[in-house]
Amino acid sequence: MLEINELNKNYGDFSLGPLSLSVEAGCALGLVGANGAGKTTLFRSLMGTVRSDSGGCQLNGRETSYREASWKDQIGYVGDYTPFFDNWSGAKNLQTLAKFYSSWSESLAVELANRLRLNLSQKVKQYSTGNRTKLAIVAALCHQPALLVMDEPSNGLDPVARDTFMEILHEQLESGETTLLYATHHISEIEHLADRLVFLSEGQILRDELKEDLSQSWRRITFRSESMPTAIPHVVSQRGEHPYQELISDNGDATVAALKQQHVENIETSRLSIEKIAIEILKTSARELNHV
Amino acid sequence: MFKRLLVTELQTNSKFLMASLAINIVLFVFLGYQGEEPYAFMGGSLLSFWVLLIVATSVSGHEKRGRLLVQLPVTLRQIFAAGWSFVLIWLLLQILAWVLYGFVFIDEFTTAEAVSVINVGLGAAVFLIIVAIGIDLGAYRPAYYQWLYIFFAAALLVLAISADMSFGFIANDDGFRFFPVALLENLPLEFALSAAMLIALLAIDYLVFQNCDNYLE
Repeated sequence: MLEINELNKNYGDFSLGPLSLSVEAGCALGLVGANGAGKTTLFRSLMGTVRSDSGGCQLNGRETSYREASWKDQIGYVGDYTPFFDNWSGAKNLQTLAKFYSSWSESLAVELANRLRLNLSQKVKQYSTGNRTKLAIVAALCHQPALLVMDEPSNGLDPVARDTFMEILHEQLESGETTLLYATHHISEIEHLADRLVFLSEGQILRDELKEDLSQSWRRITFRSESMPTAIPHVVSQRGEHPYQELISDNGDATVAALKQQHVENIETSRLSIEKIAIEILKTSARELNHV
Repeated sequence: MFKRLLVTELQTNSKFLMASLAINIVLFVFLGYQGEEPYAFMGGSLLSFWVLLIVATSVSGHEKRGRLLVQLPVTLRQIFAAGWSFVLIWLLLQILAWVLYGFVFIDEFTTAEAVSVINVGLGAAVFLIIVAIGIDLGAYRPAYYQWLYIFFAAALLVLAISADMSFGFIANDDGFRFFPVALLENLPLEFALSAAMLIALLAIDYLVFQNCDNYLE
């Protein structure tokens, strides 16, 4: 169980939070936001690599303080760039990291490296960006952490490696014991993986919803009407050319009911992909910010 | 965990240590062959060379190592302690080697001269920590903290040079003393003050390091 309580971090013009979030054990949470929304700052604060100005985090009831370190034993972290000892081979890096974790599995390291087609005998400085990411993934998973924190983890991975990586993550989550925080701009990656989606904008939580609820409630609604009906609830965006209209609603049922009350006919609804929903949410947020 | 970090520091710097050892051996053999009294430059030339080299190597490696280690289940205090323990142990070994060399191969090598050599080592360590504080301040935002520090450190250096004071790693005929206590002409006091300065600067660097942000920038 991860608890983030009133976490706040200020960097010049940017401010994260105060932000509170509770993530149940076994949950896969996708973090979505535009560039500069605060995803990386949130993760770094969580890892203790960036000092929060106020508030804090608890992992399984333990404060994630920089004065203590044992809580990091329970976290596997993959950032957009993970530093290693560049003059050493991948294998030697893993052997060194293994000494710091209580439940490191050597056999799992070899298995994951094989599945990701990572040559562990090569020096890290000779690795491509993708291979460096693969090593970071292996390092993050080998100590079987309770919490996986992944910030754009598929950077540089080729399509096959990305697919294998997704398979590995699904297997990790099957046990129900691993909690996943996954930030990415590629929504398709979390479309199948995440149980819950948190949308960040300007350092604040915009929406925090179960993926299933989003799929159930969001609808694309099309209809034919001489004029656009007024005061329709839950409309996120609208477009179309007379007389064909299209609405995106975050509560399809309520919107359709309101349209019917206004005697609109020929209403058709269709589901939206999570990617499309995410884009609509972020676009709306950007519009509101511009408006302010 | 501290022990593991220290071993990791030794492993990551093993090539550097081997090179350092090899050059020391060559210098010892060279000095023995020359048959001259070498202590006028043994601290100065060698330590200045190695101090600059370790600074040069640590600037590039320091940040990367920090960024990697800070993700491991270790505390900032352990990372700090292991990093400095490695550097100080390495300096201590060099000093001990020179003192041993002096007592074995140099005629009339006195305890006072041994203390003088140790003071050179302390001076080198102090210099190194002054540089390290500057590097660690680089992680602070806004950047003017670092520039302010560099400005004051450089101003202090210019003042010291204009006052004809010697720095620990700059040798002269009188030996090798560490600024600002070189004018005391009292080796034990010089030693005590240099050691105190070393501890104080380490404490300052720890505070700077501990409050550093952006380890992953």
